[in-house]
Amino acid sequence: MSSYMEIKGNREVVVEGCRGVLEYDTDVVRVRAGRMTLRFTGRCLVIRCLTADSLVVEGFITGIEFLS
Amino acid sequence: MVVLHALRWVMGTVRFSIHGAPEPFLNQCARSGISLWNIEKKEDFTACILAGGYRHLLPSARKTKCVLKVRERRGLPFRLAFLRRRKGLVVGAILAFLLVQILSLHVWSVEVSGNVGIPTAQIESVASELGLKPGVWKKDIQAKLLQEQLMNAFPQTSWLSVNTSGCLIRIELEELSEKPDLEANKRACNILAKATGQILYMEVYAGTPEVKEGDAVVEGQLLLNAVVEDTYGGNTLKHAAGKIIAATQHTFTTQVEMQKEIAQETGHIVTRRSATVFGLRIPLSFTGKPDGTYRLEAEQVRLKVMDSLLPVSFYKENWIEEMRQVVPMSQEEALQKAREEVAIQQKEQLGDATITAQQETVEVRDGVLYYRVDVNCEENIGVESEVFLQS
Repeated sequence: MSSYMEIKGNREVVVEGCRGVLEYDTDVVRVRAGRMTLRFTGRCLVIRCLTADSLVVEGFITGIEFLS
Repeated sequence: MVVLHALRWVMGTVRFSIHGAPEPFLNQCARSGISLWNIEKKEDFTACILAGGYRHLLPSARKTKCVLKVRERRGLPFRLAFLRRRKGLVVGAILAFLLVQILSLHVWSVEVSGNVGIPTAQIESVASELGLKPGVWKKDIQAKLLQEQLMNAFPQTSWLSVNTSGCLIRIELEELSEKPDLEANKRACNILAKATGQILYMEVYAGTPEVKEGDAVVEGQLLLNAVVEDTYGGNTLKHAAGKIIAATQHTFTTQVEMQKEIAQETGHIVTRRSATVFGLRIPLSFTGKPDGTYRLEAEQVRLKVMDSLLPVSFYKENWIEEMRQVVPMSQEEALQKAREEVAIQQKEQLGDATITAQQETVEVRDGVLYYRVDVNCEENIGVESEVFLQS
């Protein structure tokens, strides 16, 4: 199932369909979303909410990468 | 969002730190259905969870070889933790709340306003017989029915309303004003003399005078005639009116026994107290009514809070023992008493007449004082007498 991502400006990202957090730090967050890996870079990144299949990342997002 | 914060505060939240590999721990929690929020890294890696869910983290921490430490506790459960040692406080608060809820379902007091001639105690007594008194259930009060019943019980009211204001029932009413008898002035009537005397002064407003100033008249004599003759010889009937001032004489007598009964207090007082709560009388002292000659002085105190009557009152009775004895009365005292009795008679019979002269006669015989006053006065001796016509 493909994941769904919602971006609010550069301050908040909601990812539905994510299957786990691979890496977390204040300037990088890597999550597994379906067959892809998403990488968010920025400053003061916080995982505002984490459930079994969704994730909300807040902070100053400077980049979003899709890694396969 | 505000609702979410409020809900979390009510349920309590815990902020804890994760020592070890946080990512596997977070994934394990997510797979286990445990919701975490505010996951951030400052000095330590911290996250938040509901207070009741913290213990469910421990298996995930064991699996991922992480050590959890509680950093902060927030919310209502932690603020109320001290009550675990004070169960009585909680029980007391619950009981007080229930008591206030139950008491608020009853009538606390009944107030009456707007009455002038009808005593408040009488209205309250009738209302109590109809079921409106402190202590009854508010739901049993049917205001409209009570209004009708009270108006039937007091026909001298023009309107009456029963209103509920919290636990206070207000009875407001307006009394009827008597309608003046306008028809009386249209009826034909003569003016007759109510006493024997000599006419000093006359003021005729209507009717034909049958006497003049200086005439001596007897009681019942016609003074002003209702029949008025006009210049054409015709007669009309009028409502005769006028002021007929005459010099009259009256005699007032009375007799007074020259002994009196006085009550002397012995100093022995029996006090009885009781309280009334929601109409239920609770005796506070267990002394019965004393036998013998006692004078009763009673006092009732109703508790108030900011001008609102509470359904609690205290009643105190003082029974004061007295010894009655008959003692002789001096002539001066007997004469004073006789004068007072005659003054009452004069007020009733003479009204606003002017007393021009009076002569007292005092005689004491067989322990009785006989008092007589002959008065000369000037008074309005005219009294209306209706003329009845045969149709």
